[in-house]
Amino acid sequence: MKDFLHKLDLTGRWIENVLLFSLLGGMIVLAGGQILLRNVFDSGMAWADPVLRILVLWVGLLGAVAASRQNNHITIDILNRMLPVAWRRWSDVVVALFTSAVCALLAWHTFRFVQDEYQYSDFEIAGIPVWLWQSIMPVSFALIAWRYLVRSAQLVAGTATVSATGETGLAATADVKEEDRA
Amino acid sequence: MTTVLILAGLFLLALYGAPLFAIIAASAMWSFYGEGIDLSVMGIEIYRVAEMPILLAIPLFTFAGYLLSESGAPGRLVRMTRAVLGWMPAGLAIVSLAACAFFTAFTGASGVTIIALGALLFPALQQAGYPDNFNLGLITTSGSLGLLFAPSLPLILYGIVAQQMSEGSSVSIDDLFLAGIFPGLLMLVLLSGYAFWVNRRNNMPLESFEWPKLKAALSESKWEIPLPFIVLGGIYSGYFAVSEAAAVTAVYVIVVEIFIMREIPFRKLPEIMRQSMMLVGGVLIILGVSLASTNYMIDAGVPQQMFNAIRGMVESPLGFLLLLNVFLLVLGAVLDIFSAIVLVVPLILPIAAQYGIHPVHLGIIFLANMQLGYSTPPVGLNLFIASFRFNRPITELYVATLPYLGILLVSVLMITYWPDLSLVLVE
Repeated sequence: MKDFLHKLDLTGRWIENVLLFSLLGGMIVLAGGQILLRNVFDSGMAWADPVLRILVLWVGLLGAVAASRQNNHITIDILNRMLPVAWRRWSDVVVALFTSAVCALLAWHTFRFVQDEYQYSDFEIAGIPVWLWQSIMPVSFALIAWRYLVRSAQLVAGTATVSATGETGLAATADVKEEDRA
Repeated sequence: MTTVLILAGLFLLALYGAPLFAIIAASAMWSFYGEGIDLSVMGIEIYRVAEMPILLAIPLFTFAGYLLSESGAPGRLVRMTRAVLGWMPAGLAIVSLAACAFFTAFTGASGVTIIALGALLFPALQQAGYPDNFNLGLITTSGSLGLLFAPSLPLILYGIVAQQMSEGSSVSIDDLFLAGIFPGLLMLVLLSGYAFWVNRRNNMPLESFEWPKLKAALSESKWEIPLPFIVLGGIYSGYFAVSEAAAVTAVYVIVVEIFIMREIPFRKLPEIMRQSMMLVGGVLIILGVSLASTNYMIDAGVPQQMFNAIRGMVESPLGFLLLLNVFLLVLGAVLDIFSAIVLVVPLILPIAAQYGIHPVHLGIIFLANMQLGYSTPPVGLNLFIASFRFNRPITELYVATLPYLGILLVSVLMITYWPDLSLVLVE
C-alpha cells in the first residue's frame, strides 16, 4: 500500500510537470506566434486568443495543484507560529482536513457546472466543446482535495513536515530553489 | 448567529494557516448558500479567470523572471550597475538599491530578489566595510523595492482587479506603469540619501570610475540591456499590449539564456516552469475564488455600507487617506500583496472614488503601503526570506530593517498626500 502510494505520488508529479511544461510552452509559442503573424504577415489565428485565455486558467489551476503538493499556498498563519511544534501538528491536521473538504465541495459544484454546460451548450472553442475546456476546474479541485487528505494522513502518521517552520508560502518557493541548488 | 460563528471559525482557521483560497471559497459558498443561490455558480465565477485577456501577462512575466533569476543575469546586472554608479560615495549601497529595484520590477516581488541578488550583494557590502546591520536591513527591504516600476506583477494585478469595477473601468495598466515611475524613484532617492548619510563618516575607499570596466560590463550584458527597452518601448509606442509584451519577454529570455548564453540547460526548464507556475497558481486560484466572494459582497452593498460608516467618522479626503494608510499598513503586515489586492481593492476602490481619489493614485498608494508590509514584523515575507537566506534570527532583522521602514514610511506619506507625484505623467 505504502509503495503504491509512493509510486502514485511520483507519477502524479511527473504528469504535473509534463502538463505544466507543455501548457506553458504552448502558451509561449502561441502568444509569440500570434505577435509574429500580426506584425510580420499582418494576419493572425482567430482561435488563438480564446485558447490562450483558457490556457491561463489551466496553467493557474495546475500550478495550484503543484503548490498543494508542497503545501505551498498563500496563507496568513500567525497563530500556529506561536504553538509548540507538537501541538501545531494537530492544528495542521484540522487545517488540512478543512482545506480538503472545501476543495471537495468546489470539485463537486464545478463538476455540476460543467455537466450543465455539457447538456445545454454546444459552444466550441478551437473546435473543442467548451465543457471539455472547463473540466479542468473539477479535476484540479478534486486533486487538491486529495492532496490535502493525504497530507492530513501523513501528519497523523508523522511523515509530513509541520507548517510554519520558518517560511511562509511564497518564501517556501524560494526555499525549494535553495535546496535544488545545494 | 450561525453566520457569525462560521465567519469567526474561518477567521481562526486562516490564522492557523489554512490556505487563503480555501477560506475565501468557503465564505463565498456559505454566502451563496444563505441566499439560496445554486453553488454551481462557483464554476461560473472561477471560469471568469479564462475571460480576462490581460491575465496572460501574469504567467509569462513570472516565468521570464524566474528564468532570469536562475541565469547569470543577476551577476551581470550587479557588475553593470557597479560600473555605472559604483564611484559615488556609498556607491555600493546605491548600486544594491538600484539593482534590486530593477530586478524586482521584472520578477514581481515574490522574494526572488533577495535570493538571487542578496547572495551577490551582501558579501560585497560586507567586504567593502559597510556596517553589518546596515547591510542586512538594506538587502531585506530592497527585496520589494521596485514593485512600483513596470512591468511588476502587483501593478498589473491591481489594474486587472480595478478594471472589473465600474469605478475603475478606466484604469489602464499603461497608466499605472507611468504613475509608478516618480513614486518609485522617490523611494530610491530617499533610501540612497540615507545610505550616504549613515556612511558619511566611514572612510571607505571610493571606487574609481573606469571606462574599460564599464565597457566590459556593457558588453557582457549586451543581450539583457535591450529587454527593458523592448518591453517598455513596445508598450508606450503602442506596438504591444501588456500581455503581448509579456509574451515577447518570455520568448526573448528563453532565446537569450538558453540558446545564446546557454547558462540554463534545457532539461532544467520543466523544474523552473513548475516553480514559477506554483506562484502563479497560488495567485490565480485566490483571484478565481475572490471573483465569487467579491461579486457577492458588491451585490450585498458592502462597499456602500462601509462608506456610510466611514463617512460618519471622517468627512475630508485627507482624513480618509490617513485612515487608509493606517489600515493598509496593518493589512500589509498580515497579508501578502497579491491576496490584499484581490480581496481589498474591490472594497476600497468604490469608497475612495466617493472621496474623489483617482483610481490610479489609489493603486500607487495601495502598492506603496503593501511594499512596507513585506518588511513589517511579525510576518513580512522579506524578513523570513532574509532570515533563512542569511541564517540570522528574525528578531535581528526586525531591528536592522527599522530605519529603512521609517524612510519608506516617509515616502509612503509623500506619495499619499501628493497625488501629482503619481498622476503628473498620466494626465
